[in-house]
Amino acid sequence: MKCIISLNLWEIQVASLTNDGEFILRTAGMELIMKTKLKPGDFIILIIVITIALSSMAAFIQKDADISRAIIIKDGKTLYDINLNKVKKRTEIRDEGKYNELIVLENGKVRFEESDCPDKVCVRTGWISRPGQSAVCLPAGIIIKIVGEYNEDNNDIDIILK
Amino acid sequence: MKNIALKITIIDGILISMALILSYVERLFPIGFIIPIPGIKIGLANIITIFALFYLDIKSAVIIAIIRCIISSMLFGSVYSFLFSLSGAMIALIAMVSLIRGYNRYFSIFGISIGGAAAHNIGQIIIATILLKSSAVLPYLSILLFSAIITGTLTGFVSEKLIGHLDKIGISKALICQKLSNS
Repeated sequence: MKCIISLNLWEIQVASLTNDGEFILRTAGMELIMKTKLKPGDFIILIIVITIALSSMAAFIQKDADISRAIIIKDGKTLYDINLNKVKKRTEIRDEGKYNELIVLENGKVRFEESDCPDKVCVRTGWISRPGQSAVCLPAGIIIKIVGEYNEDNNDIDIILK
Repeated sequence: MKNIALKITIIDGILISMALILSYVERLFPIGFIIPIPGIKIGLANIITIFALFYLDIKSAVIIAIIRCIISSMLFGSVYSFLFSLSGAMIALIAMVSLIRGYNRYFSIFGISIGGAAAHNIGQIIIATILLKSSAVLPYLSILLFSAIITGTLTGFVSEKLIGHLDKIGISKALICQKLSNS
């Protein structure tokens, strides 16, 4: 014997009276959560996604460079190539185009200070200074990326034990 | 037969409007202010695509995805956001169509949804690399993919609930019957 006692959008409650006179009330919604079983393929997808994410993250993390240079690229062409170690005073670079951009360099750091682009993602990225970091203004097609240069003789070994 | 085609067109239209509402709703969450990276979205409209793949056919899913991208970028976005959302949606569709063949045997709805979300972000990064003619955006992929795992799980959970309930109500059974009589 079975009867549906309540039916709304979120859960369907089914009350069933068994032959022994036992009254069982179960919620269809609860049953669904219990039915949700992860399959082995799900973990394979997760592992693949995490592997791709970690390998692209490796581009982020680079060791400290001796010289870091800021490269400002517009539409695939390099406009400026600046040694950030020598930048101490505030320097302004303006780009008058479809969107007026104001790029500021100060104390070995660089950022987009003002921009007329609609989403202002470039301004919110803030100061960047380490090699591997980049700030992008997609509507204006401007990329600032920081590239490191390493001296060959200045390696990471502190002491050699024999 | 004509009647069934008309019904499916009407269902497509309803689903497109639902997807548009969802992409408006997810714009109300100010994720862009917390993480200043373009392209991080919850991807609520993906729920509609998953539903269309399960109960309608691939053709309907493609139509829904393309028209949703066109209208939502006309309403809220620009040419750039159109290119991004279209390329992401198409690659996500290709991934989900190939994953859905192994549904119940190899993958659950969570795997399909996470795979679709990750493919969406990979598509966006590919288009960004082509547009900027530079690989400077590549490091963003890691952040986008980690967010895809979270948002993919979320949309997978919602789709699971939605499809389960529609099964109980019986709407989906009617749709499948139509699909069978159509072919």
